[in-house]
Amino acid sequence: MVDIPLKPKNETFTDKQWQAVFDSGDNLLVSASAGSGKTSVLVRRVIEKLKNGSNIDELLIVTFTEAAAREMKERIQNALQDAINKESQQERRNHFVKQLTLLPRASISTLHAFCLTVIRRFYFLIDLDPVFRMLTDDTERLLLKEEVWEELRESYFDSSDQDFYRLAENFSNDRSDDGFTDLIMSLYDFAKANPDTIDWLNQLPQSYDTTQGLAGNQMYQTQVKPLILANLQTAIGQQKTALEVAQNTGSMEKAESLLDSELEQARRLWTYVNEDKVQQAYEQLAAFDFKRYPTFNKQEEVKEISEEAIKPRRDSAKELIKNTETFFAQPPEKMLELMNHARPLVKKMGEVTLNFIEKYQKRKQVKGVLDFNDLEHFALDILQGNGEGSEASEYYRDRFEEVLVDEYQDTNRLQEAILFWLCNPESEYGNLYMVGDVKQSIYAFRLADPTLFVDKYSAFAHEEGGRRIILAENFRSRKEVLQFTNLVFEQLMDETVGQIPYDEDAQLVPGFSSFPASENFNTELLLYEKEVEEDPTVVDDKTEGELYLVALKIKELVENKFMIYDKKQKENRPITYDDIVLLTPTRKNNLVIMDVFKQFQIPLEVNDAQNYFQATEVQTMISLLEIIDNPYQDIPFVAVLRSAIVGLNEEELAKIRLAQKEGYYYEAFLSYLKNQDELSVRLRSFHEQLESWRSLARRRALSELIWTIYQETAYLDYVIGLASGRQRYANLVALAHRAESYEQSSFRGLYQFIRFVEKMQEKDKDLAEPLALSQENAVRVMTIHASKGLEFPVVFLLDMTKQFNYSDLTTRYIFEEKLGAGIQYIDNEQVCYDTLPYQAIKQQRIKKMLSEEMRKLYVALTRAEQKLYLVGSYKTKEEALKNLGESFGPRKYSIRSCTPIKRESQFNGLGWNDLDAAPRYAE
Amino acid sequence: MELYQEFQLGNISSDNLDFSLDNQTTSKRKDFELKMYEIKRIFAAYEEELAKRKLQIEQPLTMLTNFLASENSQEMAKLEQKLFIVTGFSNFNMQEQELLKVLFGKSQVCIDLYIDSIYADNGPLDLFFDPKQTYHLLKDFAQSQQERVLFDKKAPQLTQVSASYLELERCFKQTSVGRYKQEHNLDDFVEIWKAENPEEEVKQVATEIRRLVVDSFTKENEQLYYRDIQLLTLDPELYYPFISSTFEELDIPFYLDQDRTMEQHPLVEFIHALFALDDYYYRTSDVFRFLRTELYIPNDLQEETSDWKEARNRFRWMVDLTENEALAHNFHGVDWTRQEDWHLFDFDFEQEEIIETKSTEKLSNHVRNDFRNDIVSFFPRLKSASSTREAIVIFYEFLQEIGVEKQLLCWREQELEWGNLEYARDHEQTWASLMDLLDEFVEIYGSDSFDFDLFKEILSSGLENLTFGKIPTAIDQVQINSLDLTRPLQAKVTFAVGLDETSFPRTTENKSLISTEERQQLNATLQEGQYLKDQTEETIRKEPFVAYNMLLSASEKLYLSYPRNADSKQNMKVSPYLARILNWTNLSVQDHSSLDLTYEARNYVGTYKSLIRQLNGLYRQAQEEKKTLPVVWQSLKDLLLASDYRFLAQRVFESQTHRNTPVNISPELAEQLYGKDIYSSISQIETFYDYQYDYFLKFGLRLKEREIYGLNSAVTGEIFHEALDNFLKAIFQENLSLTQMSEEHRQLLVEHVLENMFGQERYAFMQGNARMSFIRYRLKKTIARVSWGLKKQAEKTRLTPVQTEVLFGEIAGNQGIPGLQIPLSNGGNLYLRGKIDRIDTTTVDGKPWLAVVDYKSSAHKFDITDSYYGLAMQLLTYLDIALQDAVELIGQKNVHGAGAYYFHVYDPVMDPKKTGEKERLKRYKYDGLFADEPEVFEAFDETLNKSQYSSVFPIQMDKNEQLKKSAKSKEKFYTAEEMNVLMAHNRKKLKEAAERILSGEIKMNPSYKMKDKRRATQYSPFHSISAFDPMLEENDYYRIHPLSKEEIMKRLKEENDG
Repeated sequence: MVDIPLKPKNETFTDKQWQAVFDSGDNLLVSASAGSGKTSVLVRRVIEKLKNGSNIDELLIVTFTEAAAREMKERIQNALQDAINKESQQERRNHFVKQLTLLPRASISTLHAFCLTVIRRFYFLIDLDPVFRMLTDDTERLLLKEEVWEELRESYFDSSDQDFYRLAENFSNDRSDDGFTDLIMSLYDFAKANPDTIDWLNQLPQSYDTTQGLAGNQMYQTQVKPLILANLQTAIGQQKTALEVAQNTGSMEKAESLLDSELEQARRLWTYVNEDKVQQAYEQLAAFDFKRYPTFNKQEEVKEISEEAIKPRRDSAKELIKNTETFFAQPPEKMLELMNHARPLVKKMGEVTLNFIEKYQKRKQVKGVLDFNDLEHFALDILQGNGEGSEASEYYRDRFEEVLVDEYQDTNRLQEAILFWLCNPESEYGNLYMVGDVKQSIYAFRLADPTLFVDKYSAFAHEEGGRRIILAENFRSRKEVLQFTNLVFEQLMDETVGQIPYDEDAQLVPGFSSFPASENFNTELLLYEKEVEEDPTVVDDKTEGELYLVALKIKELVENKFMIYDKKQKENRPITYDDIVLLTPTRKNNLVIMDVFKQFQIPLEVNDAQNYFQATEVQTMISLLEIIDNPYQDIPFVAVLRSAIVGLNEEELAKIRLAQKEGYYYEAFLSYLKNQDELSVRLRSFHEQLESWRSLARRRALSELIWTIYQETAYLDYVIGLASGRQRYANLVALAHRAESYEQSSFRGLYQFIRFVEKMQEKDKDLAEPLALSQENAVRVMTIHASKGLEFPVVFLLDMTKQFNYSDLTTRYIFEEKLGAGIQYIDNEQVCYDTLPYQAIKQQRIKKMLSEEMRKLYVALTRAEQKLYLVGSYKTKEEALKNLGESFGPRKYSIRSCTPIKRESQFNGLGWNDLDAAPRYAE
Repeated sequence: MELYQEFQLGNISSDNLDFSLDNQTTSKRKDFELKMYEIKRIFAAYEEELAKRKLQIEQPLTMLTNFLASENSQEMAKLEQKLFIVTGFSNFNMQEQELLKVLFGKSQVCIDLYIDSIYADNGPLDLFFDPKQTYHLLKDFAQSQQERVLFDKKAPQLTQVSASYLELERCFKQTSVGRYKQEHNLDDFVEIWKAENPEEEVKQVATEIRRLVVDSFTKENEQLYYRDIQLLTLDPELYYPFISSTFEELDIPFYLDQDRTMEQHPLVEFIHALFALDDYYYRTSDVFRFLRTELYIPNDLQEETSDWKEARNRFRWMVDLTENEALAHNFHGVDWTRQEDWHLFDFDFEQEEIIETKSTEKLSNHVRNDFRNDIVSFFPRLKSASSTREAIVIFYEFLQEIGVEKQLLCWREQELEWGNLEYARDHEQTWASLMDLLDEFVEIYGSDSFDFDLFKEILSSGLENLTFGKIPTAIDQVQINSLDLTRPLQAKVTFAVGLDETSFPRTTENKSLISTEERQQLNATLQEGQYLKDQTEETIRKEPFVAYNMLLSASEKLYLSYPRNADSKQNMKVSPYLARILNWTNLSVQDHSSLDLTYEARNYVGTYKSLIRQLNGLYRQAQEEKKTLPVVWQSLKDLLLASDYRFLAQRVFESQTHRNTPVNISPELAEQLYGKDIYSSISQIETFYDYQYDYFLKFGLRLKEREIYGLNSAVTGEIFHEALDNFLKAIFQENLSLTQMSEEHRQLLVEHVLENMFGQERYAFMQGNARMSFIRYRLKKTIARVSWGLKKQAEKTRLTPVQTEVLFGEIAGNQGIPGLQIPLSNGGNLYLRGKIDRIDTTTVDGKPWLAVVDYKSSAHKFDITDSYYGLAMQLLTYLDIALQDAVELIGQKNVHGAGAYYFHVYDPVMDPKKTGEKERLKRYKYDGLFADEPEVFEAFDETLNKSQYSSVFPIQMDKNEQLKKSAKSKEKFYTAEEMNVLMAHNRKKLKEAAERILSGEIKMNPSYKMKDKRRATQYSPFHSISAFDPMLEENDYYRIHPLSKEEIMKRLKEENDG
């Protein structure tokens, strides 16, 4: 701890923020919840360091996105400029001016970008050819991988390797081996996020070890057994309480004896498991005798106690015990047998993947390219040397006074390893400054590992290895939004689900005091009732139903001039469309949203949509390029004829076909040219154009060809007159541009460009549309992920009752950073068994997934500045109330640790009936 | 090489890199020394190699210096009388310094430098740091050599420039140290613009240029010419294309000071593609990439026709068609190198027809043969060369043989014809460069043994970095210059574009082999007169100086602009240099956004051509904002429509009224297209109801997707169907019974059937590779499992297969039973054709029953809504036909319909909790329409016991031993009357479709099933043609809301009654 300067009176920072700016001398973890002014703190910290004589290039500042890095630089620049203007002392001024010149090459970037500079500088430490280019394009990378994989797969199939054949079969379906390819590609991606890919892959078969019996298997010991014991423990606790209640109530002998027997069995089961008597445990579980729970209809009072205090506890205990069967679905010897079968497959799949990695690496080397993945791995290789650090690591450790990491909760293990080699390794001289909020860690799909944050969060609480600073005050939202969020997360989140407790430290505290008080900002619930809608032909789709509600509500808000507070103008003003954002869990519903909002004539801006190649004018141009490449392609040829470039209608298209009824349409077109009517004149002129473009295509750069086409057809001029003409125009201009940068980066010529675009479409990849004029005053739609870090006056959170998507967990393979790989085993009779590691990993993944879903909810709720609407549907109002209420109350534990699976959607489990902030029910 | 060059310029030889490498130094130092040692070794090896080959990298400056330094030249005497003027430099590299030093001694030298004073106030941060340093360096040297410094003079204040010019100069200089106070207005001299994007930026600039030039016509003496104007940019890649297109459109002559590299020339692509053939062993894509260069045209074609163009067109055509075949058959690798001809066998699995391929076969073999003779044969010849010289001769001869030079010559001629002088020269130059390259190659490596990899490497990269010679500029053109090379008073008017925060100052990254620190370390050890510059550092340091030069580059007017967005970069800010000026002065940024209805037309008007686009854009804006076009623009439009551009304008303006709606074709045309009689499969009619427009494209225009080799679902489906058909046929033929045959027998039979089947030519493509044999193995296993299912079902039900693959109508020349013929109002008929996968029969109490079974390779459920709307017509039509033609099919009259069922062909994955035969059999349970007649239930499943569910049919036996419909499947049962109503409706829908098709109706009405959100557009391959866009007002889905069986029966009854 260092001396922190006294906070001046007029300083707007809170004490905690002030501390976060100046504290140092240790590793510091700043846990900054949503809206707590984290970026200002970070910038201020940097500035203060510079004022203190540090140089900007002695700091490493790692951001999560390029945009964040840019923003950071800009804010530092402004602050420096400011400091220069205010500074009177020449020497200090010179220092600031120098910082300004150093700024452009200061290490303020994403970790990826920083890795690139490490590689550029120290390439020779790992014998890397310093001449390389980045493989930035997804499709190109995909194609390269596919190419390598196809060759490797073929050579394996050709080698009559029995294990390989069985592996392929195990993951293929009854007619194709695509599933198998998916397996290897997923395993590749997963393994690559690990600091030591090779080791990780080689370790995979270990969890399938059977030499020590089931109880001796490490996966069983470390994962399964503790989980079973914990479940049983909870069950036993429930049973005991239930029994006590029954005994105290009296005249419940039947129930008592049932509870007694079940408790006794549960205890026995617990002992067997605890003592590793797996066979007995299995048998006990199979023979577990659950009797029918008696009814107490005669005595009203007893009945009530029974139904409210005993039966629920007993039933949940029963459920917990039943859940244990997941792990004992087969007798122990069968489980061992399955693991014996699976082990060689797991071994083979690791081997194939390693082989693939090697081949892919070689191919990249030949092409002189690096992909994003390589950046981190190579940088780590450079830094860690033979495991004890290297010249490079020494250099950076020496150079950096402090390493600041933003959004630390989204770091993965590989990145953590890299950071290790950049910071002072001794904790008493810790110089790592981490900022983040684990409640906002939503990048598991990019293999972020929030436990890194959590572990430090808990250790630093006791000053082990560093210290933590908590920024709880929220300067973004109204207290209604914050209270609601607090309320929800108090119910939902604890250490097991969510990895840290939602305790006082985690609570959001209102910090922005200028919002005028108003009654209108309670969080509201928009529920669509599926079964109540009278005319089924109007709306019978729940997504549409929900969106109708939303659209109606938005119309109402705007028409009634709902007043919101304008932070810039510092006064209330009527709401406009662009104050509103719709957050959706997925992009899937974008089509429907567009559809509904079109009907209501509400202007809409759909963000982060990757649908560039779907745009009509781009498709037309691609079709034209395709037929310039080869006109013997019916679909693109007719697409061009029907487009404005030739402008034929269906009648004319039909006439052409009649010139030759079979074969390529282009042949019919050529035949028609011989006619002497008005149509043939037009066709001949197009044919001439096409021929000249074909010649041009061989000789000129692609972008030149495209510009020539634009000039000769006036297509650019044409599209601007269509609906959303400016966007279309921008799309076409971008095509010429993208073609050009494509030719400069990778391949040359029309032929390869067309292949590339086709592959892209085949792989369902696309590019973002260039930004034309952004729709002003439009409601925005974005995913929760895209909304991270942003804030909006009014937020509609859509699709809250959507079932969680477990599809990631229904494949035949499942991976986890620490636990390795679990596979299902398919025997000769096509019976598909879960192996023990599969089940163990799956439970772990489900737990993580639910945590992640919960954090997504947190991110979504905290986007709102002023007003929050939650949108979902239930069959009826009654069902809604029942579901919303059920998740809380006596079954409180159920949404928590023990059976997290219970939470099926964002809505269920929110614990509504406890809410005084009572979301109002909207019809 | 770059590094070597750098060392040369810094006067550093590899000996300077010799470090002790002793153990005394720190590890960090050691690493540095080790690195230098390695570089030294590389350089030494390089120099040795040069020496061995008697080569010398020419260092003209050093040569000159040495020459001048040598005393013995007679010319030297004259030097003393000469004055050398050195201008425009701010610093000199070591070689240049050496030269200057010699000149100092031998003659008069005059050097000018931009500095404000000779004192560097701010160290490296001083704007004039470099020139000041240079100043001192030179002066110190001169003094140390006792050379006389004649004239150390400060240039006088500029007088011919305006006060604003000087103000700006002072402003930039002083704001850099933060003590400026504005004394004079700048707004008549500087304008700072922001535009939406680079393109708009250029447009605004171009319009302004026109305006300036035109306006100046009226002023005497002050006439401004294009040549007085320059446009500066730091990012030619981004801006040049816009500049070309915009300036051409606005008729502004311009000169791009741009080196065009040969990299883009097709000859380079030709060489890359050629070597890729060998590197990747004739991948399909590489072969066509090569053929598409069209620098190779087979000699036989060229001989056949004397006309070059005709030969090329012919070959182009042949390659087009061959490419399609190669993709469809996956011709790659050995297919291109072997001698035997290709045998094309095309089978249309959807239409079940063999496709005629004779002529394409001949043609593609022609291409293949030529390719093999001319290209494939080249590689072994080349590789067998013993010396490099020999290899190069072989390569040269090869190029000549296949006519590359000839093609280039023809291209040149053609370019000349088109008037593209510059391009014509390009072709010539590239060829000449290649020849030079080969010559040099022979000279240097000629006698070495041939190294193929080196050869490839040198040829591939040898041309890439060369640039084309430029054609001299015309007189009155706007100069487009590079911003970092500009100098004060370079033009009267300067436009500088792209000055956003990320572009200026430039961020440079040190990509060289030696880092900034290492450079410093190295320099510390070097002698005087040696210095390794740090480009990166220098660039960053000099950036303010570049800005300074830019600001002073115009004598009359300076326009500085930046784009707000560029492609996906959004909301960019202005460059910090400009921000500084804006901060300290009263200048403000002018928003030059793209044309808006409210803007002054005067600022935007360019040419007629550009007016077309502007008017079209304004029209759209007016539409969207529900306004009318301002009068000015309206009158401009009238002018345009009276000009020569009116035709183009009219065509372009069509977009204003464009609607993406198809037109109907005339009934006459429809009849010509589809025939008076319509021959159709049921799935075609279903397509019609699903998406009429697709129907028109697919069956009217007969458009096909490009065929790509692979196993698609249509093919697997066909394999399954055929296998099951063959299996049952074999049983019929051998008079076997499914129920009675043994398990082994069944397996043997399946094995035999599959063996035969995969032996057919149409499946030859599955022999292709090892992976395919795995898939074949897997398919076989699936089929074997299904045959087990068939047998087990047969053991339970009395409905027995009697017919399989029953053809009706005419398919691929085979005539089946008549099937359905529906008379149409045009006098023709609708003839339906198709295949009923299977017909099963049984007799209950003497009453004959019949059912049809349809094999599906994915799970299918009968959906009555789909059936009602014509989206699922198969089951009903098959049942209809089977009942109608029962006599012919099963030899019985008065047959009753037992239903129509889907049978899922697959190998189900079993849950360990539900294993065993029974469970597996359940997975094959039928779905579809079932006769709601209890008497037939016993035939459905004979083996049911009390309280059991059937695993074949959706029936059960209750605890009273009564057979009944299983509770969940009641909706699947239909009484005979209900079935008749549905079949009648089905026929009506068939007829309706045919009538509508022949009426010429074409609607763009993709169906959208509300139940599962399936949109017909989702899977349509024709999207690029229809361009259906739900955001367009005129494009709407045909929404299909789910209806209950009850509702549908009610509607049908009403229809019949009404």
